[in-house]
Amino acid sequence: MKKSQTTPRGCYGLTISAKVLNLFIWLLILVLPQSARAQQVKISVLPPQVHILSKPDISLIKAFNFENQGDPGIFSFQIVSFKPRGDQGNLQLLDQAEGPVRFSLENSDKRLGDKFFLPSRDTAQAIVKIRTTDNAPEGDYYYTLLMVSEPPTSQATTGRGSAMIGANILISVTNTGLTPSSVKVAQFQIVPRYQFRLFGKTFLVVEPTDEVPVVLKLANTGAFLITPDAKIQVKGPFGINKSKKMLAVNVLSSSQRLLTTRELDSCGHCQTQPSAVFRGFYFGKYQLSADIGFAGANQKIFGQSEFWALPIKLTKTVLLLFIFAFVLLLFLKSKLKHE
Amino acid sequence: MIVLKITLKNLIKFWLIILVFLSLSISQVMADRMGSDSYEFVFTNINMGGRTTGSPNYTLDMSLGQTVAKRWEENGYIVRAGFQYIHILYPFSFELSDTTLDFGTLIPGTPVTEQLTATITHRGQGYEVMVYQDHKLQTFDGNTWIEDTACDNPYCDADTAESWISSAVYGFGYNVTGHDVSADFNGSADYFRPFSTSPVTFMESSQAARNRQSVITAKINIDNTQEAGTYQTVLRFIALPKF
Repeated sequence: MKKSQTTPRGCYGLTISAKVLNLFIWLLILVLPQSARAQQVKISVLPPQVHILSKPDISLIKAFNFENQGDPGIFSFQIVSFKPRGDQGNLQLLDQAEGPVRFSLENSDKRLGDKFFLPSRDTAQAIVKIRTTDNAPEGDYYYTLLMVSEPPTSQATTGRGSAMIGANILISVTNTGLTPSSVKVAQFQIVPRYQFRLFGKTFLVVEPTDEVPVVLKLANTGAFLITPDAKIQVKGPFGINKSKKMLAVNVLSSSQRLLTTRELDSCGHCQTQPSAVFRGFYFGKYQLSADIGFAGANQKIFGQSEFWALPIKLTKTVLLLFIFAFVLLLFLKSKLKHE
Repeated sequence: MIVLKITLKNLIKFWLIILVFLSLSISQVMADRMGSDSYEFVFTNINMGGRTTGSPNYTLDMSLGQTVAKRWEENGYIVRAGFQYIHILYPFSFELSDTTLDFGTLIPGTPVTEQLTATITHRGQGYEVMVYQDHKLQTFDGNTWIEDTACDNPYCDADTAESWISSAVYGFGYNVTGHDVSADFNGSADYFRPFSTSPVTFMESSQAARNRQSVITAKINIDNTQEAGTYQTVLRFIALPKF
């Protein structure tokens, strides 16, 4: 009897303290000022780029996975055209998708431009249906699939942020599977410290201990993108024979691209990014050659240039010293004569 | 003289040794795997024909990858995911630390700043981050606005940051410091650009990136003729992989 009386009393006591604790926590939450929490957006896309070779009048489906690793948010999908900008792989987005390629989403619950909720740590798959029209002219068409976050609402003076992440969709329309190319070397030379023009010829000169930055730019004048596999080589006196391999990046139709090494080389006196920088001691005349092949093709194109490594600074100093010594000698001679 | 006693036990041992030997000597079968969710074969051969084509500049011999050609004939298309120089697919990731730049109550001649951080991770070669505003900072009815900054003299524009220190120069603009930031910001916290209504790159690299971060500081300074009200705009940050 005693036992049965004590047990409920103990339980009751515990229930009371749990209720008090619960109430206390709620009071704390309500009464204490809450720290403002930033709305963070962290999104990723896979794959970040696709290249599609398609005949006209073909439909295909490609899925892109967008993961929300930040706070829950409202998002939407958009597809716009882009043009290559500059010579380093930058993009200029256009307002809408242009050209003979039609896009739609195959998702049962999403359409392009429609907003949807994406919880934290969840993935939204954009199942993109890509259709080339039956009269699509052969050539390349470039698009970006964007996932756009909806900006937050606010009643204060604010800049409301929206994050967009893009995946590039490069489409080559071809009837036969052949993508004829037209490419030329747009620029291939060193970035010289000195430049002289003598007898109608330009001489590019560096100091013997200078870094030798080389610029290699390709111009794609064809209708299809190309992926060059290039190597730059320097040959000259003192057994100098060095080469560097360039990264196989895409050169889009009607654009130029600077080729670079995988780990970007930098140099002290360069205004812009060079393709490669050769370091060492040089003296005399050097030949520079570029050997450019293309994925899947046997044919190659070549670029050639030359430069001189001469001790211009040293020569200037010696000349100045010589002139100074000569003037001094004349001065001393005339002084001795007078005496 | 060695005497081999053929018993059941020895026979089992013999076959076990043979089996172990066979399993070790069999080479790995290389399957023709075209792709999965996390990996896709990157074709090095994009041309499907087996003949020579050309252009005024040079000619190309087209070679034929059998599997790819078969897929081309059957489907009429080929999809290559990723980049030529990187054979595993990795996601491209973009983070904005905050999406609300709340400037609070503005006092004429007293500049107010708000910050957020942009972070990029990309295993491919190169990325860029751009920003643009939908319109100038304006009231809800759109009748009153805060001008974009022109900076101190020399003047800045959408592509060129210049120094903006003077509290007598008014407007709305942004500064960026951190990794891979455009050179015109001069590595300084005092160089600003006005926000443009078309995308402008403020952070870019031609290399692979891992947690590359930049801090974007938005600044407003108003004069005493600025009408009272709540001013807003949408700042759109776009992260793109280079092609």
